[in-house]
Amino acid sequence: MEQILLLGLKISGISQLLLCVGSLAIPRCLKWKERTATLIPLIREMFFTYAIYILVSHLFFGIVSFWLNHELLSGSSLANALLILMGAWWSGRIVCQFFFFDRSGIPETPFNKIAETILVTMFIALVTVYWGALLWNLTR
Amino acid sequence: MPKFSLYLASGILLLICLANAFAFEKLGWKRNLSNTEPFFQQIFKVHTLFIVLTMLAMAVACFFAYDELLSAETLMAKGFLAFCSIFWGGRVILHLLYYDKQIKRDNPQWNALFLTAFIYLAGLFLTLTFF
Repeated sequence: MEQILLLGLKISGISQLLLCVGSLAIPRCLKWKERTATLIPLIREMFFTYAIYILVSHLFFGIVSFWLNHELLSGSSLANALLILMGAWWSGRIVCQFFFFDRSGIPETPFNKIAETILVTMFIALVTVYWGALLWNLTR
Repeated sequence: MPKFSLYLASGILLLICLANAFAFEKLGWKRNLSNTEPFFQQIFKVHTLFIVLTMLAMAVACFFAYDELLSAETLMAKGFLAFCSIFWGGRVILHLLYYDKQIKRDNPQWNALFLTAFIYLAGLFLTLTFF
C-alpha cells in the first residue's frame, strides 16, 4: 500500500506542476485583463494577487508531492497538516466545479469538454491520494 | 527562536482569516463585484476561500507542528517555511508597492495593523527558513 501511495503522490506532484504550466494561459484565454477592467482598483488588484497566490500554492503542492512524497507519509504533524490542506483544497475544488461555478459562459466545444473531463478526473485522483495518504498516516 | 513566536503567528493568521469576513462588508465586495460577470465573481470568491484555507493550514501547522518548524531539520519543514516566506514576503511587497494607495490613506490604522502583521509573519518565516 505504501508503494502505491508513494507513486500516487509522485503522479499528483507531476499533475499539479503541469496544471501550473497550463494555468499560465488562463488569463489570456479568458481575457481577464479586459473583463476585470470594470472593477475598482483594489478588487482588481486582489483578483490578480489571489490568482498568483493560488498558482504558487499549486506549485508548492506539486513540489512537495513529487520530491517529498516519503516525508508526506512520515506521519508527522506537519505532514498531516499538509495532507489535510491539500485534501480539503481539491475536495473544495470538486464541489466548486459541480455546485458553484456557472459554466454557461464557457463554449461547449469538444476541446473544452475534453479539458473539463481531464481536470475533473485529476481533481478526483488528487482527493483520493491525499485523503488516502492521511488515512494511512493515521491508521498504521 | 521560542515557540511563543509560532503560537503568536498562529493567532495572527487566525485573526487575518477572521478579518476577511469583515473585509467583505467593509470594502463593499458584493457591490463592487456586481460590475463584473458572474463567472469572475465566482472565481474571486473561490480564490478568497482557498487563500483563507491556506492561512488556516499555516495557523494549524504553527500551533501543532511548532517543534518541526523550529528545528527545520526535515526538507518538508524547510519547504513549508520557504513557502510561507514567499507567501508573506510577497504580501508585504504587494502591500507596499501594488495595492491601491487611496484605500490605505483612508484607513491608516487598519493599514498599519495589517502591515505590521504581514511584516511579523514574513520576518518570522524568513528567519526560520534561513537561520
